[in-house]
Amino acid sequence: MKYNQQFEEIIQKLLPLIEIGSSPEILEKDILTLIDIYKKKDRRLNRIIKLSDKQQRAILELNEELDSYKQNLEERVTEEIQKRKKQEALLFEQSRLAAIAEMIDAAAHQWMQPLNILSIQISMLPIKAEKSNGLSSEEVRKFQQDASLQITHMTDTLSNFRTFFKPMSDARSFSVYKTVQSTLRLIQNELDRYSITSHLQCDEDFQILGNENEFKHILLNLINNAKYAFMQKEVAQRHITLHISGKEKKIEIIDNAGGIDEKIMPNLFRAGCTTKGEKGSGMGLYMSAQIAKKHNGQLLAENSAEGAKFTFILKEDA
Amino acid sequence: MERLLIEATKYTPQIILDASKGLLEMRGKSYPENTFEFYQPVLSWIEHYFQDPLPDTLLQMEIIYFNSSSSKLFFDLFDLLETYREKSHITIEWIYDPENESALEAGEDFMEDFETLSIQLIEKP
Repeated sequence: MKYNQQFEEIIQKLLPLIEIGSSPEILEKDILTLIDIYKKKDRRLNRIIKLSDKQQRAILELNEELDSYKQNLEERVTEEIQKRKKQEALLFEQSRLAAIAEMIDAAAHQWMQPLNILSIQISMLPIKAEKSNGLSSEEVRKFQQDASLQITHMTDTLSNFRTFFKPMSDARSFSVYKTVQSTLRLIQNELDRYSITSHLQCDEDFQILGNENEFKHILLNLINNAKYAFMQKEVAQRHITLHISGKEKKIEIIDNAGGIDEKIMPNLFRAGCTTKGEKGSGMGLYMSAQIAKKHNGQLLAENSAEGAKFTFILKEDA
Repeated sequence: MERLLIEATKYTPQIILDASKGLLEMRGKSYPENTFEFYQPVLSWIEHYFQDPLPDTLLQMEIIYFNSSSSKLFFDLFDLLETYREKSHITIEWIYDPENESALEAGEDFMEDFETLSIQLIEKP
C-alpha cells in the first residue's frame, strides 16, 4: 500500500511537467489508467500470494499430521512385534513342555528295563546266597559288574536327556547326520515299544548353523507324529525312513502310516491345527516350522504312496 | 470448430471445450509443471471460439486445488473473457466443495475482481 501511494504521488507530481506530444489531459488519463491497472495487478498478486501462503501452511499441517501418524505407526509396530515375540516365546515354551513330557515318558520307559533287571538281580541275590551257603567273591564281583552295567546304561540315558533339555543360546554349526543319529538314539526304545523300525540313509552329510537341540525338536516332533499315526492305524510293518541328502541340503522323514488327510494339509503348519483331538496342542508342527525358518530352512509336507513325507530343506543362500 | 478434449492427469484437470454447445468445462486439480504451456491451447481455442461464439457461453470450473501459477492463469483467462463479454452472454460457474475452504475463497476473489462477469458460486452437493 505504501508503495502504491508513493507511486501515485510521484506520477501526480510529474504530470504537469510532461508536455510531449499529446495533450496533458490525454496523458493524465493514460497515466491514471496505468495506475488502475497497476493497482488491480497488485491486488491480484496479493491474492495469489495469500493463496500460496495458505497452501504452504496446509502442507505444513499435513506434514505434521503425517509425522505424528508415522510416529504412532512406528510405536504400534514395535508394540505389535514385542507382543508377537512374547506370544511366540509362550508358544515355544508350551511346545517345549509338551516335548519334555514326552521325553520324560520315553526316559521313564527306557529306565524300566534296567530297573527290572536290577530288581531281579537284587531279589536273586539272597536266593543264591541261601542255595550256596553264602556268596563267593566271584559271585559278588559278577553281581557288582551286572548292576554297574545297568546303572551305567541308566546314567547314559539320563545324560542324553539332560543334553536335550539344556538350553543352547549360541548358534553353532552341527552335523545333520550326527544330530539325526543322536535323536534316533533318544527315541529308539519308544520306537521299539511300538514295533516301529527306523532306517537312516545318508548320501552325504551336511552342516546346519543353529541350535542343535532346537533342531532335534523338529525331528522328535515328526517322529512322534508318525508314531501317533501308527497307533491309530493297522499297519503290518511300521517303518520310518530318514533320508539325508547333502547335495540338496535336505532331510526327508517318510513313514508308511497312511498319510495326512488332504483337507487339513493347507493348515498343517498353522498354530492350533491338530488331528490328535484333546491329546494334541496343535503347536508341534507350527513350532517345528518356526524352528526350521529360524535355521534358514523350510519344512514341507506331502503324502507319499504309503504315508506322510516331511522335508526339511535349507534355503539356497544358507 | 473442433472440440478440444484434454484428459485429466494426476496433476492436471480434464478440459472439454465444445463450441457447438458453447460449453467450456474444467474439472480436477491444476498443478501443471508448466502452467502457461499447459493452458496455451485452451486460451488459443477460446480466442478462436470468440471470433464467432454462440449467444450464450457457459464456463464450468470445478478446480479442486490449484497452484499459484494456475491462479494467475485463471485471472488472465477471466481478463480474456471480459474482453469478449459484448460478443456472447458469458456465465461462469465456479463449483466448489463445501469442505474445500480455499476453493470457495478463490471463487469469491474472482467475483470481486471481475464485477462485469457473471460468476456464480455453486456449492457441490
